[in-house]
Amino acid sequence: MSNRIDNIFSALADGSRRQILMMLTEKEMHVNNIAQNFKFSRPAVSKHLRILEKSKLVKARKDGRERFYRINPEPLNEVYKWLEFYNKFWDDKLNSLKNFVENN
Amino acid sequence: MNAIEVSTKQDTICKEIIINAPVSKVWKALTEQKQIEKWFMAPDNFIPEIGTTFHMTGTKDGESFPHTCTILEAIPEKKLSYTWNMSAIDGETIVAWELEEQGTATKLTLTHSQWDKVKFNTPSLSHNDFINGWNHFTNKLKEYSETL
Repeated sequence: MSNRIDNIFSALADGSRRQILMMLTEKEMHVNNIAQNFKFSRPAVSKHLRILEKSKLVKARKDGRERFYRINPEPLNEVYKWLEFYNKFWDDKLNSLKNFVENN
Repeated sequence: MNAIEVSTKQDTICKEIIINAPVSKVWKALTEQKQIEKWFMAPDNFIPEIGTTFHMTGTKDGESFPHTCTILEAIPEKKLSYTWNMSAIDGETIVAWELEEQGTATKLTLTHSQWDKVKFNTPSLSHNDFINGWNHFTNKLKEYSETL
């Protein structure tokens, strides 16, 4: 399975969605439980969950007519790991280039 | 730290640095094979012409990171860009170097973009990994936004 990083970034850009994610790290939850806990309307929660599901940060499980949501940490870790790696990599290389050019 | 983070988009790493040397000297360091290997990585066949391909391998903690790159733009003393394919990740990103004369110095801007094109095949990770990764990520997001 593949994940697009832009979906992850836009999913995480919203404070409410980050709150929902944090709650889901504790346990699997039904949309109504989430709505109660965060005092959002059910449609608002559903909308956030759809965005989170699209980013693959949460996964849904159907039980009869109900949908239960749980966290799926993989996409975020992978993005974070590589962006961090290259963030540091470019700092190092730019400084190395500056030293090289200025001292030659 | 001399490099400044200037990213405004989360799918792009963008940094700039002032180098106290003329653009001609910086351009040579970016485009001459013998110079590139002194500060960056050793390319196998670096020719600053559109369409040419080169390979470079970096190492970190004993692990190798091979890259395959193809030149997209080479405007002398102004801009150099190439594709940046990382063997560890499925997907192509773009690395661009832009040079701007500032008196006797050079402002160099590095942009590593198209992270949104990257696909990941991941092993499963634990709950704690997620929490740590996420906390770190949100801190980064905060840092990014505060530098805007």
